Amino acid sequence: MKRFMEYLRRAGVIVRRYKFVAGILGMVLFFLVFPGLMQELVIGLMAKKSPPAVDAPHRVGETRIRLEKELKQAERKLALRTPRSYYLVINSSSNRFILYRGGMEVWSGKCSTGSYTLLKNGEEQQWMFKTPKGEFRVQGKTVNPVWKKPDWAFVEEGLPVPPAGHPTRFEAGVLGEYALNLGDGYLIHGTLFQRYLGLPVTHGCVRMGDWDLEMVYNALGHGSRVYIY
Amino acid sequence: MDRESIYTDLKVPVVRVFRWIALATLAAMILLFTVGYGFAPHRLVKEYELLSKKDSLFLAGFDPAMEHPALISLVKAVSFKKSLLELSSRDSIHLVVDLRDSTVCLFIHGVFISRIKAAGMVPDPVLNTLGMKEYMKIFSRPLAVVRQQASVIKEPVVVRHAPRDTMEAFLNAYLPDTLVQRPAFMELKLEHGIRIVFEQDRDAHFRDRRVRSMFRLTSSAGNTLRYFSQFFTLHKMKYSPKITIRMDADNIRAIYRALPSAPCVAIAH
Repeated sequence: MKRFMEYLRRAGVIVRRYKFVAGILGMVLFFLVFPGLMQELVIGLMAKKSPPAVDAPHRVGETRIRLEKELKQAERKLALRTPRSYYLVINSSSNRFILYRGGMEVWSGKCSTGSYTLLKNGEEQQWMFKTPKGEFRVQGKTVNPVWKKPDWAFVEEGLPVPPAGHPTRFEAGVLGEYALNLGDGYLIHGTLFQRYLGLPVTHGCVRMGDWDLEMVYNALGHGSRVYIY
Repeated sequence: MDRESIYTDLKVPVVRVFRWIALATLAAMILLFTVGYGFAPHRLVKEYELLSKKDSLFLAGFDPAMEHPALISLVKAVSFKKSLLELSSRDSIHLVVDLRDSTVCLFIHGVFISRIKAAGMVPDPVLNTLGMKEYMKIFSRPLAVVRQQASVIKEPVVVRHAPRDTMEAFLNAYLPDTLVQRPAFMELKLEHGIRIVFEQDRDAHFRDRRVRSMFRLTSSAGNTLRYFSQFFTLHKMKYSPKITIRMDADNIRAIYRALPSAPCVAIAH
């Protein structure tokens, strides 16, 4: 206790000697601590404030019935938006898909989506390989699809680009056994490179393993929804 | 007594007086700042009250019986559903934050395409002090995201130049690699000053802790600078309610990359 008092006395001497500096330091300390404390205090007092009194307490029952009816109507409208049949959701960040039916998960697995590669061919041409996000509809289904190679498929191999309709433009067996067309040139199809499933390696299409693709192909029909995010 | 000594004799007390005036001014400014900062949440709630009072159509449709404590959860549920219905009529992917069951969902055209359970959610205490009138005015419609910032790259584009021939293509061929992912921290600034901050729930490496510290520092520094600029430009200091969500880093990345440039958020509180 004596030592503590001695320290206090010495601190007091220092403060008296350096009053101005002590004042500045004290204000800095106050500034760091008190505004936050004051805010906490005000929020605490606001939370303790009692809610406004209800003018007509007898109407609470009527209001409850009306609100419950409104809630049920809103829930019904929202439920109608969810497809009752199969729909597919693809996560392009983690390269996984989930097949749903009426909001319940039915199947899930790995897939591959766009690699986000920007292929530049000089200054005139460039292609961005990414899978678009949003809501799509299945516009067509194909068995044993043949790949009609676009220009970038030749450019990225260092090959000359053949004219449209040239036989080298068509390659069978690389898209797997099935393909679902989402429009704008984007497909869900199979792959020869099954070991790359789960990685972002495609040119925009969605690649699936053989078994998963067959499951999805059989589940989805024309007009089925596919959500990609 | 010569002139110099008179000047020297006067200089010391004058300097001392100026020092004390400076100290007193600084003390007054700090006090004013403290009061302004402290009362900013209260001013925000008053602003929200004014917002609801200005909308005569909303006031006409608001039943005062909704303020009754027994109806609060029902009113909040109806507000949330109304917000979802309005969100379902909009195009592109939007965000739904449900503080009641700590879930964050991606939503498009009325369909929940992703539902993620957060490791933790901390709502701002000011949001709990809102009356039902203000709550309905703000949360019964989706809130637009005014600004997004994150430690994650939205589109991790890799530029490749077309090879001149097949030999160059063969030499440049690369095997895809598992991506090295950056630590995931994200902040969305919504209308009415509300902020939603996403933080990854685990820091596996030192790099994660460093990015977390930098992210928090940037966010709080931005906030502090905002308060200072409002104080020194003699504007009212605006409080910004914050909702903090902790979840897995992969999910934060997926959410950030899924959201378009101008998404909306429906919040259930």
